[in-house]
This record gives sequence, C-alpha cells and structure tokens, in this order.
Amino acid sequence: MAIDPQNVDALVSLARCRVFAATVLWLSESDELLGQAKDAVGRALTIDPRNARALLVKSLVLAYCTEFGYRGQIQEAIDAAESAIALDHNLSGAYRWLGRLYSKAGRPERTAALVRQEMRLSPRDPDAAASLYNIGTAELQMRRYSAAISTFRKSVAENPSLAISWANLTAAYLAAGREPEARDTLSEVQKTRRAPGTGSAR
Amino acid sequence: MRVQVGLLQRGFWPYTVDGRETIRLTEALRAFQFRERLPQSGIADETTVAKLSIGAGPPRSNFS
Repeated sequence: MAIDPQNVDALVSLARCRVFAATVLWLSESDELLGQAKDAVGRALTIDPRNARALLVKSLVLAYCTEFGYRGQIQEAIDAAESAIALDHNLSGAYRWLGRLYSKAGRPERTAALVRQEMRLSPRDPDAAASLYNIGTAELQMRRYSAAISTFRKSVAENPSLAISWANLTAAYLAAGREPEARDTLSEVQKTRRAPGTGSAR
Repeated sequence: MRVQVGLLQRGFWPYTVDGRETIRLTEALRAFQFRERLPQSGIADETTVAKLSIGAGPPRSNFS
C-alpha cells in the first residue's frame, strides 16, 4: 500500500485480513477492524467497481458489522455476494459464503447446493471442514438432525480442531434427544475452544 | 444451548450454537420476542421458551 495506494488487490487483501482478525481471531478491537476493512474495500470498489473479490469482502463486512443490528446487514450481504458470483463464476469462496448467508438469513434450504458448488470448484480446499459445517448448520436449522449429525461428524473428521463444528454437533445431538452423546461432544468443544484460531462462532 | 437451537431454527441466531449467554443471545431473544409480540426482556422466560417450541414442528423463516 505504501508503494501503490491505488492497488486494488492489496486493498482487498488488507480488508480480508482485517475481517479475519475481527471474526476468526476474535481480537478485542473487532469493531475498529471491521471499520477499517469497510474503508479499504470501499476504496477498492471506487477504483474497480466490478472487482468480484472486493464485492465478496464487502459482503463479509456487511454481514459482520453490527452497526445496524446484531444480525448484520444480511440482505445487503447476500446482494454483494451474488454480484461477486455474477462477475466471477469461478470464485469458489463466494458460493460457500453465500450458502452461509442464506442460512443466517433463515433460508437454509438454499445453503447445501451453493456449498456443494464451492466444493466442486475447489475440491482440494484445505478448509473443507468449514464447508461441511455450513451444510450441517443448514440441516440443523431444517431439523434434519440425523443428516446434521452425520455432516458435522464428517467436518470434525476433516478438521478435529474446528470448534464450531464440535459445538453445532453437540447442539444437533441435543436437539435429536441424544443427550449422552451431546455431553461427550461438549468436552471436545471445551478442548478446542482453548486453542486459538479454531473457528469463529459467527 | 436449546434456546439457541430454537432461535437458529427460526432465523434469529446467525451464529454457532455455543451455549454461551452473551449480549448477542439477549439481542436475539429480544428480536424473537418482538416478532412474537412478547415483552422484550431478552430473557428466556417460560413463555418465550414455549414459543420457541424446540424440536417441534417445521422451522419457520423470518427474513424472506
């Protein structure tokens, strides 16, 4: 940025890093970081309004900013993610994120197809456990408890330190009335929660 | 945790179900109570829990 303040790739990456720090690392100054991310991505989009990666990061900022309510600006975030995909059909991360957004918006029936599209586009994604988390959460929302349990199990098999999947697996067991298994998985949640960077609750 | 599951299934909990009682849970409960025309205490009282009817019936979306 010091060499080229108009560098769109740098602005987008900077914004993405700040969103990550605010939402995954849970740094205490998360509101400030999200504000900085919003500024950086705003500048990127002023220079290049049709930059798909910038629109994806904008979508993240809109969903995580709680300026207008605890749920963020979900519909605006959906619009930005859909615009990103319209501009770049191969932007795999945008499909997964859009799937998560529909789940957050109370439309979980749309999630799995989008996340599976991301998995098809990026079959070697090292973060496949997070994709499975998104599908499992949508299944939990739709009260498909057996499916959710199976999906969360696959997710933690992929990444045993992904706290968010252990947490929602516990919830799925509980909702399914399988309390002994819920208690067992709860201990995994507590173990993984102690490790830094093991998953955002958002 | 059951309360969060109920809120999740109704589109009021956009986070992971972690069982923690935080300000976000209070806000989510208030939003749900507003929707259900209940007093907006932000507390999972008996009436609110009954309205959440965890595990019963089809999920309802609140955003579309």
